[in-house]
Amino acid sequence: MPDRRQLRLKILLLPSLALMVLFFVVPLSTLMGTSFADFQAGEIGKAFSLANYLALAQDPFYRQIIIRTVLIATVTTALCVVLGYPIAAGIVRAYGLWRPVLLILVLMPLLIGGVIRCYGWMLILDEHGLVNNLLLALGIIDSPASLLFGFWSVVITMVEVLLPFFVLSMLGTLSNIDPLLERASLSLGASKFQTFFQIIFPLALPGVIAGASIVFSLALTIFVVPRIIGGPSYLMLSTLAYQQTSEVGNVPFGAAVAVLMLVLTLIVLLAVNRFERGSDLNKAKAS
Amino acid sequence: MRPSSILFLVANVAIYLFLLLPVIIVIAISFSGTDSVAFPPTSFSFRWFVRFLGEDQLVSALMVSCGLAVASSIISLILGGIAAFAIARGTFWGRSAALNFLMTPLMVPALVIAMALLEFFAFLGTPSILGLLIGHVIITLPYVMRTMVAGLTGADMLAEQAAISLGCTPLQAIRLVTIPMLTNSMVASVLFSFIISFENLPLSLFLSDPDTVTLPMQIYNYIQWVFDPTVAAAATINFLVVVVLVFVAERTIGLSRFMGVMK
Repeated sequence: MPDRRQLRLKILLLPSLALMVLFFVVPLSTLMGTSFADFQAGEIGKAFSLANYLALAQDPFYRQIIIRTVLIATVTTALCVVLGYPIAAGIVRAYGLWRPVLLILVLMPLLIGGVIRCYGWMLILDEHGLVNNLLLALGIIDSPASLLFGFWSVVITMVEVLLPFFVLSMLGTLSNIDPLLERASLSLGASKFQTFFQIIFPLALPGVIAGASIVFSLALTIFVVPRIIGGPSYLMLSTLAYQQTSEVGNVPFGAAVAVLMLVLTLIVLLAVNRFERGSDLNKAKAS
Repeated sequence: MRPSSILFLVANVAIYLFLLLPVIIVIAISFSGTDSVAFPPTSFSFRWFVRFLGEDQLVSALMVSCGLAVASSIISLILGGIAAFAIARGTFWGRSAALNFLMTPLMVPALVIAMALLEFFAFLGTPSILGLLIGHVIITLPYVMRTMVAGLTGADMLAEQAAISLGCTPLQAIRLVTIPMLTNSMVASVLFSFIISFENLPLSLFLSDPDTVTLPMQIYNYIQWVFDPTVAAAATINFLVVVVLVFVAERTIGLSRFMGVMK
Protein backbone atom coordinates (compact mmCIF):
# COMPACT_ATOMS: atom_id res chain seq x y z
CA MET A 1 0.00 0.00 0.00
CA PRO A 2 2.66 2.62 0.88
CA ASP A 3 4.44 1.71 -2.35
CA ARG A 4 1.34 2.39 -4.37
CA ARG A 5 0.88 5.72 -2.63
CA GLN A 6 4.46 6.68 -3.45
CA LEU A 7 3.90 5.63 -7.05
CA ARG A 8 0.79 7.81 -7.25
CA LEU A 9 2.69 10.75 -5.81
CA LYS A 10 5.44 10.25 -8.38
CA ILE A 11 2.84 10.39 -11.14
CA LEU A 12 1.79 13.82 -9.84
CA LEU A 13 5.31 15.06 -10.55
CA LEU A 14 5.24 13.92 -14.15
CA PRO A 15 3.34 16.80 -15.82
CA SER A 16 5.67 19.53 -14.54
CA LEU A 17 8.80 17.44 -15.12
CA ALA A 18 7.68 16.69 -18.67
CA LEU A 19 6.92 20.35 -19.32
CA MET A 20 10.33 21.37 -17.99
CA VAL A 21 12.22 18.79 -20.03
CA LEU A 22 10.37 19.56 -23.23
CA PHE A 23 10.26 23.36 -23.01
CA PHE A 24 13.29 24.18 -20.91
CA VAL A 25 16.00 21.51 -21.12
CA VAL A 26 15.54 20.72 -24.81
CA PRO A 27 15.39 24.36 -26.01
CA LEU A 28 18.40 25.34 -23.89
CA SER A 29 20.37 22.38 -25.22
CA THR A 30 19.40 23.33 -28.76
CA LEU A 31 20.53 26.89 -28.11
CA MET A 32 23.88 25.60 -26.87
CA GLY A 33 24.19 23.46 -29.97
CA THR A 34 23.42 26.45 -32.18
CA SER A 35 26.18 28.45 -30.49
CA PHE A 36 28.69 25.99 -31.97
CA ALA A 37 27.41 26.43 -35.52
CA ASP A 38 29.22 28.60 -38.00
CA PHE A 39 27.58 31.47 -39.81
CA GLN A 40 28.66 32.54 -43.23
CA ALA A 41 27.03 34.69 -45.88
CA GLY A 42 23.79 34.82 -43.89
CA GLU A 43 23.51 31.04 -43.62
CA ILE A 44 23.68 28.95 -40.47
CA GLY A 45 26.14 26.19 -41.18
CA LYS A 46 26.00 22.58 -40.03
CA ALA A 47 29.67 22.20 -39.16
CA PHE A 48 30.90 22.30 -35.58
CA SER A 49 32.89 25.45 -34.98
CA LEU A 50 34.31 27.43 -32.10
CA ALA A 51 34.36 30.60 -34.20
CA ASN A 52 31.69 32.40 -32.16
CA TYR A 53 33.47 31.83 -28.87
CA LEU A 54 36.85 32.72 -30.37
CA ALA A 55 35.39 35.98 -31.67
CA LEU A 56 33.98 36.76 -28.22
CA ALA A 57 37.36 36.12 -26.64
CA GLN A 58 39.56 37.78 -29.22
CA ASP A 59 37.73 40.62 -30.95
CA PRO A 60 38.50 43.84 -29.02
CA PHE A 61 34.95 45.13 -29.64
CA TYR A 62 33.35 42.12 -27.95
CA ARG A 63 36.01 42.00 -25.26
CA GLN A 64 35.15 45.58 -24.41
CA ILE A 65 31.47 44.64 -24.06
CA ILE A 66 32.31 41.77 -21.73
CA ILE A 67 34.55 43.98 -19.57
CA ARG A 68 31.93 46.73 -19.54
CA THR A 69 29.22 44.28 -18.47
CA VAL A 70 31.29 42.91 -15.59
CA LEU A 71 32.35 46.41 -14.54
CA ILE A 72 28.77 47.76 -14.56
CA ALA A 73 27.57 44.71 -12.61
CA THR A 74 30.35 45.17 -10.04
CA VAL A 75 29.72 48.89 -9.46
CA THR A 76 25.95 48.29 -9.38
CA THR A 77 26.36 45.55 -6.77
CA ALA A 78 28.62 47.71 -4.57
CA LEU A 79 26.14 50.59 -4.67
CA CYS A 80 23.21 48.25 -3.95
CA VAL A 81 25.01 47.01 -0.82
CA VAL A 82 25.71 50.57 0.37
CA LEU A 83 22.17 51.83 -0.31
CA GLY A 84 20.30 48.62 0.48
CA TYR A 85 21.82 47.92 3.88
CA PRO A 86 20.36 51.00 5.64
CA ILE A 87 16.97 50.30 4.05
CA ALA A 88 16.96 46.71 5.29
CA ALA A 89 18.20 47.78 8.73
CA GLY A 90 15.44 50.40 8.85
CA ILE A 91 12.75 47.84 8.03
CA VAL A 92 14.05 45.45 10.70
CA ARG A 93 14.05 48.23 13.31
CA ALA A 94 10.62 49.60 12.36
CA TYR A 95 7.68 48.58 14.51
CA GLY A 96 3.90 48.68 14.30
CA LEU A 97 2.36 49.65 11.01
CA TRP A 98 5.65 51.06 9.70
CA ARG A 99 7.07 47.65 8.96
CA PRO A 100 4.53 46.48 6.36
CA VAL A 101 4.35 50.00 4.93
CA LEU A 102 8.12 50.18 4.37
CA LEU A 103 8.16 46.65 3.00
CA ILE A 104 5.48 47.52 0.48
CA LEU A 105 7.38 50.68 -0.51
CA VAL A 106 10.36 48.46 -1.36
CA LEU A 107 8.26 45.79 -3.01
CA MET A 108 6.10 48.12 -5.09
CA PRO A 109 8.76 49.29 -7.57
CA LEU A 110 9.84 45.68 -8.02
CA LEU A 111 6.31 44.63 -8.88
CA ILE A 112 5.78 47.50 -11.30
CA GLY A 113 8.62 46.16 -13.38
CA GLY A 114 11.70 47.36 -15.16
CA VAL A 115 10.19 48.82 -18.33
CA ILE A 116 8.14 51.47 -16.56
CA ARG A 117 10.95 52.40 -14.19
CA CYS A 118 13.36 52.75 -17.11
CA TYR A 119 10.80 55.01 -18.75
CA GLY A 120 10.79 57.06 -15.54
CA TRP A 121 14.59 57.30 -15.67
CA MET A 122 14.37 58.36 -19.32
CA LEU A 123 12.10 61.21 -18.25
CA ILE A 124 14.65 62.14 -15.59
CA LEU A 125 17.82 61.85 -17.62
CA ASP A 126 17.10 62.83 -21.21
CA GLU A 127 17.63 66.17 -22.84
CA HIS A 128 14.34 67.67 -21.62
CA GLY A 129 14.31 65.67 -18.43
CA LEU A 130 14.13 66.61 -14.80
CA VAL A 131 17.88 66.84 -14.20
CA ASN A 132 18.52 69.07 -17.20
CA ASN A 133 15.57 71.34 -16.36
CA LEU A 134 16.82 71.62 -12.80
CA LEU A 135 20.37 72.45 -13.84
CA LEU A 136 19.10 74.99 -16.41
CA ALA A 137 16.86 76.66 -13.85
CA LEU A 138 19.71 76.90 -11.38
CA GLY A 139 21.94 78.38 -14.05
CA ILE A 140 24.54 75.64 -13.70
CA ILE A 141 24.42 74.76 -17.40
CA ASP A 142 23.51 76.84 -20.44
CA SER A 143 22.25 74.22 -22.86
CA PRO A 144 20.64 70.87 -22.06
CA ALA A 145 22.45 67.66 -22.92
CA SER A 146 21.11 64.12 -22.79
CA LEU A 147 22.48 62.15 -19.86
CA LEU A 148 21.35 58.83 -21.34
CA PHE A 149 23.48 56.23 -23.14
CA GLY A 150 26.48 56.18 -20.82
CA PHE A 151 28.09 54.37 -17.92
CA TRP A 152 26.61 56.33 -15.04
CA SER A 153 23.06 56.56 -16.39
CA VAL A 154 23.05 52.77 -16.83
CA VAL A 155 24.53 52.20 -13.36
CA ILE A 156 22.12 54.58 -11.60
CA THR A 157 19.09 53.02 -13.28
CA MET A 158 20.34 49.52 -12.64
CA VAL A 159 20.92 50.24 -8.95
CA GLU A 160 17.37 51.54 -8.65
CA VAL A 161 15.91 48.57 -10.51
CA LEU A 162 17.87 45.92 -8.56
CA LEU A 163 17.90 47.50 -5.09
CA PRO A 164 14.66 45.79 -3.93
CA PHE A 165 16.17 42.36 -4.68
CA PHE A 166 19.07 43.14 -2.36
CA VAL A 167 16.88 44.50 0.44
CA LEU A 168 14.44 41.57 0.33
CA SER A 169 17.14 38.93 0.35
CA MET A 170 18.91 40.62 3.30
CA LEU A 171 15.87 40.93 5.56
CA GLY A 172 15.89 37.35 6.81
CA THR A 173 19.48 37.40 8.07
CA LEU A 174 19.17 40.88 9.52
CA SER A 175 16.00 40.17 11.48
CA ASN A 176 17.65 37.09 13.02
CA ILE A 177 20.37 39.20 14.68
CA ASP A 178 19.54 39.69 18.36
CA PRO A 179 19.18 43.46 19.01
CA LEU A 180 20.53 42.85 22.53
CA LEU A 181 23.96 42.16 21.02
CA GLU A 182 24.23 45.76 19.91
CA ARG A 183 23.26 47.07 23.34
CA ALA A 184 25.59 44.65 25.08
CA SER A 185 28.48 45.74 22.89
CA LEU A 186 27.76 49.43 23.47
CA SER A 187 27.35 49.02 27.21
CA LEU A 188 30.66 47.17 27.40
CA GLY A 189 32.39 50.24 26.03
CA ALA A 190 32.62 49.63 22.26
CA SER A 191 31.97 52.60 20.02
CA LYS A 192 29.07 52.61 17.55
CA PHE A 193 31.59 52.19 14.77
CA GLN A 194 33.25 49.19 16.46
CA THR A 195 29.89 47.66 17.27
CA PHE A 196 28.78 47.84 13.68
CA PHE A 197 31.95 46.56 12.04
CA GLN A 198 32.96 43.98 14.66
CA ILE A 199 29.61 42.65 15.90
CA ILE A 200 26.68 43.40 13.61
CA PHE A 201 28.20 43.37 10.13
CA PRO A 202 29.95 39.98 10.47
CA LEU A 203 26.62 38.48 11.53
CA ALA A 204 24.86 40.14 8.60
CA LEU A 205 27.53 39.07 6.12
CA PRO A 206 25.78 35.89 4.85
CA GLY A 207 22.74 38.02 3.98
CA VAL A 208 24.90 40.68 2.33
CA ILE A 209 26.64 38.04 0.23
CA ALA A 210 23.37 36.37 -0.74
CA GLY A 211 21.85 39.70 -1.75
CA ALA A 212 24.97 40.87 -3.54
CA SER A 213 25.22 37.66 -5.54
CA ILE A 214 21.60 37.93 -6.66
CA VAL A 215 22.10 41.54 -7.70
CA PHE A 216 25.39 40.73 -9.44
CA SER A 217 23.95 37.83 -11.41
CA LEU A 218 20.90 39.86 -12.41
CA ALA A 219 23.03 42.86 -13.35
CA LEU A 220 25.18 40.68 -15.63
CA THR A 221 22.16 39.62 -17.65
CA ILE A 222 19.40 42.24 -17.26
CA PHE A 223 18.08 43.44 -20.59
CA VAL A 224 15.67 46.34 -20.07
CA VAL A 225 18.12 48.77 -18.51
CA PRO A 226 20.95 48.57 -21.06
CA ARG A 227 18.42 48.45 -23.89
CA ILE A 228 16.43 51.54 -22.87
CA ILE A 229 19.04 53.56 -20.97
CA GLY A 230 22.22 52.28 -22.65
CA GLY A 231 20.83 52.35 -26.17
CA PRO A 232 22.09 50.56 -29.28
CA SER A 233 25.60 52.00 -29.10
CA TYR A 234 26.39 51.33 -25.44
CA LEU A 235 26.02 47.54 -25.57
CA MET A 236 26.13 45.03 -22.74
CA LEU A 237 26.06 41.25 -23.16
CA SER A 238 22.24 41.04 -23.05
CA THR A 239 21.71 43.76 -25.63
CA LEU A 240 24.47 42.28 -27.80
CA ALA A 241 22.72 38.89 -27.72
CA TYR A 242 19.42 40.51 -28.68
CA GLN A 243 20.97 42.63 -31.41
CA GLN A 244 22.79 39.69 -32.97
CA THR A 245 19.74 37.41 -32.87
CA SER A 246 16.93 39.79 -33.80
CA GLU A 247 18.52 42.61 -35.73
CA VAL A 248 21.64 41.20 -37.37
CA GLY A 249 20.19 37.71 -37.77
CA ASN A 250 23.40 36.02 -36.67
CA VAL A 251 21.58 33.50 -34.49
CA PRO A 252 24.64 31.33 -33.71
CA PHE A 253 26.64 34.27 -32.41
CA GLY A 254 23.65 35.51 -30.38
CA ALA A 255 23.38 32.00 -28.94
CA ALA A 256 27.06 32.04 -27.98
CA VAL A 257 26.57 35.34 -26.13
CA ALA A 258 23.54 33.83 -24.37
CA VAL A 259 25.58 30.78 -23.34
CA LEU A 260 28.30 33.08 -22.01
CA MET A 261 25.66 34.92 -19.93
CA LEU A 262 24.35 31.62 -18.63
CA VAL A 263 27.82 30.41 -17.69
CA LEU A 264 28.65 33.68 -15.88
CA THR A 265 25.39 33.46 -13.89
CA LEU A 266 26.00 29.85 -12.95
CA ILE A 267 29.57 30.59 -11.82
CA VAL A 268 28.32 33.37 -9.52
CA LEU A 269 25.49 31.30 -8.08
CA LEU A 270 27.58 28.15 -7.58
CA ALA A 271 30.43 30.10 -5.94
CA VAL A 272 27.98 31.65 -3.49
CA ASN A 273 26.17 28.38 -2.92
CA ARG A 274 29.45 26.84 -1.84
CA PHE A 275 30.06 29.75 0.52
CA GLU A 276 26.66 29.67 2.18
CA ARG A 277 26.41 25.91 2.56
CA GLY A 278 25.43 25.16 6.12
CA SER A 279 24.40 28.72 6.90
CA ASP A 280 20.90 29.69 8.01
CA LEU A 281 20.05 30.95 4.56
CA ASN A 282 20.44 27.56 3.04
CA LYS A 283 18.07 26.04 5.55
CA ALA A 284 15.53 28.73 4.81
CA LYS A 285 15.83 28.03 1.10
CA ALA A 286 15.37 24.31 1.55
CA SER A 287 12.12 24.73 3.47
CA MET B 1 17.26 61.88 18.86
CA ARG B 2 20.98 61.27 18.66
CA PRO B 3 22.86 62.66 15.64
CA SER B 4 23.57 59.17 14.33
CA SER B 5 19.86 58.28 14.40
CA ILE B 6 19.02 61.47 12.52
CA LEU B 7 21.67 60.65 9.93
CA PHE B 8 20.21 57.15 9.59
CA LEU B 9 16.71 58.55 9.14
CA VAL B 10 17.78 61.12 6.56
CA ALA B 11 19.72 58.49 4.62
CA ASN B 12 16.69 56.20 4.62
CA VAL B 13 14.33 58.91 3.39
CA ALA B 14 16.79 59.83 0.62
CA ILE B 15 17.15 56.21 -0.52
CA TYR B 16 13.38 55.66 -0.56
CA LEU B 17 13.02 58.82 -2.66
CA PHE B 18 15.63 57.50 -5.10
CA LEU B 19 13.82 54.15 -5.25
CA LEU B 20 10.40 55.68 -5.85
CA LEU B 21 11.40 58.68 -7.99
CA PRO B 22 10.94 57.14 -11.48
CA VAL B 23 7.52 55.73 -10.59
CA ILE B 24 6.40 59.03 -9.05
CA ILE B 25 7.53 60.90 -12.17
CA VAL B 26 5.72 58.57 -14.56
CA ILE B 27 2.50 58.82 -12.56
CA ALA B 28 2.76 62.62 -12.33
CA ILE B 29 3.33 62.93 -16.08
CA SER B 30 0.31 60.76 -16.85
CA PHE B 31 -1.94 63.43 -15.27
CA SER B 32 -0.29 66.23 -17.24
CA GLY B 33 -2.53 68.75 -18.98
CA THR B 34 -0.01 69.49 -21.73
CA ASP B 35 1.64 67.53 -24.53
CA SER B 36 5.03 67.64 -22.94
CA VAL B 37 6.65 65.06 -20.72
CA ALA B 38 8.45 67.78 -18.76
CA PHE B 39 8.45 67.37 -15.00
CA PRO B 40 6.75 68.80 -13.02
CA PRO B 41 3.64 69.05 -15.22
CA THR B 42 2.15 72.52 -15.31
CA SER B 43 -1.54 71.57 -15.39
CA PHE B 44 -3.74 68.62 -14.51
CA SER B 45 -6.00 66.48 -16.72
CA PHE B 46 -7.25 62.97 -17.44
CA ARG B 47 -6.88 63.43 -21.20
CA TRP B 48 -4.02 60.94 -21.55
CA PHE B 49 -6.17 58.24 -19.98
CA VAL B 50 -8.89 59.03 -22.50
CA ARG B 51 -6.27 58.91 -25.22
CA PHE B 52 -5.01 55.58 -23.85
CA LEU B 53 -8.51 54.07 -24.15
CA GLY B 54 -8.59 55.23 -27.76
CA GLU B 55 -5.26 53.61 -28.63
CA ASP B 56 -6.21 50.10 -29.73
CA GLN B 57 -2.61 48.90 -29.60
CA LEU B 58 -2.20 49.77 -25.94
CA VAL B 59 -5.61 48.50 -24.85
CA SER B 60 -5.21 45.21 -26.68
CA ALA B 61 -1.71 44.85 -25.19
CA LEU B 62 -3.23 45.30 -21.73
CA MET B 63 -5.78 42.58 -22.55
CA VAL B 64 -3.10 40.21 -23.84
CA SER B 65 -0.99 40.77 -20.72
CA CYS B 66 -3.92 40.22 -18.35
CA GLY B 67 -5.06 37.09 -20.19
CA LEU B 68 -1.57 35.68 -20.32
CA ALA B 69 -0.94 36.43 -16.64
CA VAL B 70 -4.23 34.84 -15.54
CA ALA B 71 -3.83 31.75 -17.72
CA SER B 72 -0.17 31.16 -16.86
CA SER B 73 -0.67 31.61 -13.13
CA ILE B 74 -3.59 29.17 -13.09
CA ILE B 75 -1.67 26.56 -15.09
CA SER B 76 1.42 27.07 -12.93
CA LEU B 77 -0.67 26.76 -9.78
CA ILE B 78 -2.19 23.45 -10.90
CA LEU B 79 1.04 21.92 -12.23
CA GLY B 80 3.18 23.31 -9.41
CA GLY B 81 0.58 22.58 -6.75
CA ILE B 82 0.35 18.85 -7.51
CA ALA B 83 4.13 18.61 -7.94
CA ALA B 84 4.67 20.38 -4.61
CA PHE B 85 2.16 17.98 -3.00
CA ALA B 86 4.13 15.00 -4.30
CA ILE B 87 7.42 16.47 -3.07
CA ALA B 88 6.13 17.48 0.36
CA ARG B 89 4.14 14.29 1.07
CA GLY B 90 6.25 11.71 -0.72
CA THR B 91 9.11 9.73 0.77
CA PHE B 92 10.49 8.47 -2.53
CA TRP B 93 14.06 8.89 -3.69
CA GLY B 94 14.93 11.97 -5.76
CA ARG B 95 12.36 14.36 -4.29
CA SER B 96 14.82 17.14 -3.57
CA ALA B 97 16.52 16.64 -6.93
CA ALA B 98 13.12 17.07 -8.60
CA LEU B 99 12.49 20.23 -6.58
CA ASN B 100 15.90 21.67 -7.48
CA PHE B 101 15.28 20.86 -11.12
CA LEU B 102 11.90 22.61 -11.11
CA MET B 103 13.59 25.69 -9.56
CA THR B 104 16.32 26.02 -12.21
CA PRO B 105 14.48 28.56 -14.41
CA LEU B 106 15.24 31.06 -11.62
CA MET B 107 18.95 30.63 -12.28
CA VAL B 108 18.73 31.12 -16.03
CA PRO B 109 18.44 34.71 -17.34
CA ALA B 110 14.96 35.38 -18.77
CA LEU B 111 16.53 36.60 -22.00
CA VAL B 112 18.33 33.28 -22.47
CA ILE B 113 15.11 31.32 -21.87
CA ALA B 114 13.36 33.54 -24.40
CA MET B 115 16.08 33.04 -27.04
CA ALA B 116 16.05 29.28 -26.53
CA LEU B 117 12.26 29.13 -26.86
CA LEU B 118 12.29 31.33 -29.97
CA GLU B 119 14.49 28.89 -31.83
CA PHE B 120 12.58 25.88 -30.53
CA PHE B 121 9.08 27.21 -31.29
CA ALA B 122 10.17 28.43 -34.71
CA PHE B 123 11.30 24.87 -35.42
CA LEU B 124 8.00 23.40 -34.17
CA GLY B 125 5.87 26.11 -35.79
CA THR B 126 4.09 26.79 -32.49
CA PRO B 127 1.54 29.65 -32.59
CA SER B 128 2.84 32.77 -30.85
CA ILE B 129 0.23 32.89 -28.08
CA LEU B 130 0.80 29.25 -27.13
CA GLY B 131 4.56 29.79 -27.09
CA LEU B 132 4.16 32.83 -24.85
CA LEU B 133 1.89 30.89 -22.52
CA ILE B 134 4.37 28.01 -22.21
CA GLY B 135 7.23 30.46 -21.62
CA HIS B 136 5.30 32.25 -18.89
CA VAL B 137 4.42 28.95 -17.20
CA ILE B 138 8.13 28.00 -17.20
CA ILE B 139 9.22 31.25 -15.55
CA THR B 140 6.38 31.32 -12.98
CA LEU B 141 6.53 27.64 -11.98
CA PRO B 142 9.53 28.10 -9.60
CA TYR B 143 7.68 30.75 -7.58
CA VAL B 144 4.67 28.44 -7.22
CA MET B 145 6.92 25.52 -6.25
CA ARG B 146 8.71 27.51 -3.58
CA THR B 147 5.52 28.90 -2.05
CA MET B 148 3.54 25.67 -2.22
CA VAL B 149 6.30 23.40 -0.90
CA ALA B 150 6.81 25.82 2.02
CA GLY B 151 3.04 25.91 2.64
CA LEU B 152 2.64 22.13 2.46
CA THR B 153 5.61 21.52 4.73
CA GLY B 154 4.13 23.92 7.25
CA ALA B 155 0.61 22.46 7.06
CA ASP B 156 -0.18 19.79 9.62
CA MET B 157 -0.15 16.36 8.00
CA LEU B 158 -1.97 14.88 10.98
CA ALA B 159 -5.09 16.84 10.08
CA GLU B 160 -5.22 14.98 6.77
CA GLN B 161 -4.71 11.62 8.48
CA ALA B 162 -7.31 12.45 11.13
CA ALA B 163 -9.82 13.20 8.39
CA ILE B 164 -9.07 9.86 6.75
CA SER B 165 -9.37 7.92 10.01
CA LEU B 166 -12.69 9.67 10.64
CA GLY B 167 -14.04 8.26 7.40
CA CYS B 168 -12.97 10.60 4.60
CA THR B 169 -11.56 9.13 1.43
CA PRO B 170 -8.03 10.44 0.69
CA LEU B 171 -9.41 12.68 -2.06
CA GLN B 172 -12.07 14.07 0.27
CA ALA B 173 -9.39 14.72 2.88
CA ILE B 174 -7.37 16.70 0.36
CA ARG B 175 -10.39 18.64 -0.84
CA LEU B 176 -11.90 19.33 2.58
CA VAL B 177 -8.81 19.63 4.77
CA THR B 178 -5.56 20.15 2.86
CA ILE B 179 -6.69 22.66 0.26
CA PRO B 180 -8.43 24.98 2.76
CA MET B 181 -5.26 24.96 4.88
CA LEU B 182 -3.28 26.04 1.82
CA THR B 183 -5.41 29.01 0.81
CA ASN B 184 -2.71 31.50 1.79
CA SER B 185 0.01 29.72 -0.16
CA MET B 186 -2.21 29.44 -3.20
CA VAL B 187 -3.14 33.13 -3.13
CA ALA B 188 0.55 34.02 -2.77
CA SER B 189 1.51 31.68 -5.64
CA VAL B 190 -1.05 33.16 -7.99
CA LEU B 191 -0.07 36.68 -6.99
CA PHE B 192 3.65 36.17 -7.60
CA SER B 193 3.01 34.32 -10.86
CA PHE B 194 0.63 36.98 -12.08
CA ILE B 195 3.11 39.77 -11.44
CA ILE B 196 6.15 37.89 -12.78
CA SER B 197 4.21 37.18 -15.96
CA PHE B 198 2.63 40.64 -16.20
CA GLU B 199 5.93 42.52 -16.15
CA ASN B 200 8.03 40.18 -18.30
CA LEU B 201 9.57 41.80 -21.35
CA PRO B 202 12.15 39.35 -22.82
CA LEU B 203 9.67 36.56 -23.60
CA SER B 204 7.35 38.89 -25.53
CA LEU B 205 10.29 40.49 -27.27
CA PHE B 206 11.19 37.16 -28.87
CA LEU B 207 7.87 35.30 -28.97
CA SER B 208 5.18 37.93 -29.66
CA ASP B 209 3.69 38.43 -33.09
CA PRO B 210 1.74 41.62 -33.95
CA ASP B 211 -1.44 40.16 -32.43
CA THR B 212 0.12 39.06 -29.16
CA VAL B 213 2.10 42.11 -28.09
CA THR B 214 2.07 42.40 -24.30
CA LEU B 215 1.80 45.60 -22.28
CA PRO B 216 5.48 45.84 -21.24
CA MET B 217 6.48 45.29 -24.85
CA GLN B 218 4.01 47.88 -26.17
CA ILE B 219 5.23 50.39 -23.57
CA TYR B 220 8.79 49.56 -24.60
CA ASN B 221 7.87 50.17 -28.26
CA TYR B 222 6.08 53.42 -27.50
CA ILE B 223 8.77 55.05 -25.42
CA GLN B 224 11.16 54.82 -28.32
CA TRP B 225 8.93 56.55 -30.85
CA VAL B 226 6.12 58.43 -29.10
CA PHE B 227 6.89 61.37 -26.89
CA ASP B 228 3.56 62.28 -25.36
CA PRO B 229 2.20 61.18 -21.97
CA THR B 230 -0.12 58.42 -23.34
CA VAL B 231 2.39 55.77 -22.42
CA ALA B 232 2.68 57.27 -18.92
CA ALA B 233 -1.08 56.74 -18.61
CA ALA B 234 -0.59 53.11 -19.65
CA ALA B 235 2.13 52.78 -17.02
CA THR B 236 -0.13 54.32 -14.36
CA ILE B 237 -2.84 51.77 -15.21
CA ASN B 238 -0.22 49.03 -14.93
CA PHE B 239 0.71 50.51 -11.55
CA LEU B 240 -2.94 50.46 -10.42
CA VAL B 241 -3.25 46.77 -11.33
CA VAL B 242 -0.24 46.04 -9.11
CA VAL B 243 -1.55 48.23 -6.26
CA VAL B 244 -4.89 46.40 -6.28
CA LEU B 245 -3.12 43.03 -6.23
CA VAL B 246 -0.83 44.06 -3.38
CA PHE B 247 -3.77 45.46 -1.41
CA VAL B 248 -5.79 42.25 -1.89
CA ALA B 249 -2.77 40.20 -0.87
CA GLU B 250 -2.09 42.27 2.23
CA ARG B 251 -5.73 41.96 3.35
CA THR B 252 -6.16 38.25 2.64
CA ILE B 253 -2.82 36.70 3.50
CA GLY B 254 -0.68 39.41 5.08
CA LEU B 255 1.76 39.87 2.21
CA SER B 256 4.61 40.83 4.54
CA ARG B 257 4.84 37.24 5.79
CA PHE B 258 5.55 35.97 2.30
CA MET B 259 8.50 38.23 1.64
CA GLY B 260 10.99 35.38 1.92
CA VAL B 261 9.45 33.80 -1.15
CA MET B 262 10.62 36.43 -3.59
CA LYS B 263 13.85 35.77 -5.39
